[in-house]
Amino acid sequence: MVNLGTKIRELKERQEKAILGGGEKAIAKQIAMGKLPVRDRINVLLDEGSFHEYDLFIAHDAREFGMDGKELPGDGVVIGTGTIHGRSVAIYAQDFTVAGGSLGSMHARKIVKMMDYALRMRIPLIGINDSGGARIQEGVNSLAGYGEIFFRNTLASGVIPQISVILGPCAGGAVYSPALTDYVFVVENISKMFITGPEVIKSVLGEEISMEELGGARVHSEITGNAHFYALTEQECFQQIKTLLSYIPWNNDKHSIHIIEEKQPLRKYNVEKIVPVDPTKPYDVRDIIRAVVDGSEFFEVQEKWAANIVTGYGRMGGRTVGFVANQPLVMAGVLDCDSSDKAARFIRFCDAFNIPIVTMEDMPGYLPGIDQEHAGVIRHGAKMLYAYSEATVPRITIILRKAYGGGYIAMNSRHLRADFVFAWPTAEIAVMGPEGAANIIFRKEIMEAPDPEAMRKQKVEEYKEKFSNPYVAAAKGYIDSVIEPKDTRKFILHAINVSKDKHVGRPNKKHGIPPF
Amino acid sequence: MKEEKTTLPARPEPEYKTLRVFEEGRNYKTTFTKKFQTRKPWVKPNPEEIKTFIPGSVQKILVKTGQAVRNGDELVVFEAMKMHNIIRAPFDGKITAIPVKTGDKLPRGAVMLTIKQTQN
Repeated sequence: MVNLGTKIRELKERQEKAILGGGEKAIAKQIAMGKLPVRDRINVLLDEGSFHEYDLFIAHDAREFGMDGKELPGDGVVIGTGTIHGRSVAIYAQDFTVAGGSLGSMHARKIVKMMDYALRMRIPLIGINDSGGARIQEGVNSLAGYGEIFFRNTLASGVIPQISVILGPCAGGAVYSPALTDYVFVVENISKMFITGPEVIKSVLGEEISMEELGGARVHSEITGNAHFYALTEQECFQQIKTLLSYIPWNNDKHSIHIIEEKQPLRKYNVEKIVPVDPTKPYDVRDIIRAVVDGSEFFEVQEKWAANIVTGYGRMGGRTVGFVANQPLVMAGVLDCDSSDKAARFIRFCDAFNIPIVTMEDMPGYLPGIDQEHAGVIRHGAKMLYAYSEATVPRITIILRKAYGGGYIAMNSRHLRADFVFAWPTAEIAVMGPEGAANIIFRKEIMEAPDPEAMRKQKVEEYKEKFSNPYVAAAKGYIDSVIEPKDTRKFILHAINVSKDKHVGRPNKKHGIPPF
Repeated sequence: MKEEKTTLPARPEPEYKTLRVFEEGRNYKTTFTKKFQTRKPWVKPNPEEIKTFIPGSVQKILVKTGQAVRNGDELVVFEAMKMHNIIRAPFDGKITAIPVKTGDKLPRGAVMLTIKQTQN
């Protein structure tokens, strides 16, 4: 007799078979590579027991090249919803044990289902990539699948946070979904991302390079800037994702902002002791950020790439704030192509998701060099100016020491419509450093003096006295207050509170044209 | 009625090259961009060479050839972009060469010193 028990047994049998994916051997191989099986990845990342899977019984419909009758459980991808910090997220994870995680049309349809769901429900989308690429047997249907994904990545951009986790190969066209998302996570020895692999490069150009050196985790976190977070293990990577999601809101609606209890910064970060008054001495600007944020907790984004600018999140008064800061510790904190790109993108994320931006400024200007000019530092530098000028979230700038030339304008100056600009008494706001300026303005006097070197020194001192301070800019109202370093947190907190309901208009347009 | 000219004005024949974009793919007759032609081949980085990351001058050398150093030890004070940048040892090792001296003005990518990494 057929009863409910039999039906349930059948369901369970089907589920067990599907969940095995590519089979025990393939799973063992995955584990041997230091990779977690696909559902373990999801279960470690999400709140315990919160994952609900959909489309487990999906079947591919390919008939060509021996695909007819071939079973691919779940079609190589697991989709579902669950929670992180008790709040809902949508997730998809490719299963390398099933046909190498290759993307066929049903595989893509599952991913697309989750993307549509995430966008409709206004919840973050997390994609775990571990795939050999397009399923060649499915031809253009596979490409169509990628296209549908890329289009939705773009549609969802700025509405919900999109997170890509690269836990295996992600090559060829497949790389463009992560590239279109907001945050890319990579893991040492496991992540591999490139458009064309080492073999093609060797055969076409004769250049030899290993997969790791071409597109490994380190390369993307230090050289290309394609990745935002680097971890040594998958577990560490999942922890980083959870931390990121503790800071960023679930969608671009103002009500989605999560405010927690305020904490005081730790006493060991004493602002007055961190920054040397001598502008030629380096220090770690992250210590200044730690000195002002709640609990001295600062979560850095793109720590290793373009480290001459620091970007990341902290909380002030329990509310998430995005920080952009020149880093005198690295390359003297200069602006260049990469640091401008890095800051511009971070600013745009903050603006899209209603996160106030605090800018800490201490930079000598743009990096001189033929390579920089030829790499298009004009175009790259312009991105940061564009991003700041367009941002309508509360924007606060603290000038710590050097604010010279074009860099002064670019670093969220009053002229780009910063809401508040504060300067420390150590600030030097001028068109260029005193040495360069004196050499130009007093060229004649220096040349004609009996002792040109002594005259040069005297003129440099004169210039320093007159212009290397915050008071010329303060006299014009370009900065709002010259503040004591110890009051920095107080001033930022107050400024954020004042700007809580900030409302500014922008001219009507379809969209602007940022210098991509 | 005047007959309209249908031929394009004579142009010099471009210098065609061959490009293959897949391993076993076809060869395409095409021209190259200047940037592609003048690109530098990739060189495997040698972590034991401590190079300048920015143009500047050597202000102070804090180590000697043959000296053992530990990860994080200060090696050189390198003045660049109005900043006294402190160059630190990236790992434990022994200084094998210091091809620069105090006061040297260096371009970007110049070797300041080489360290032989200690094998653990």
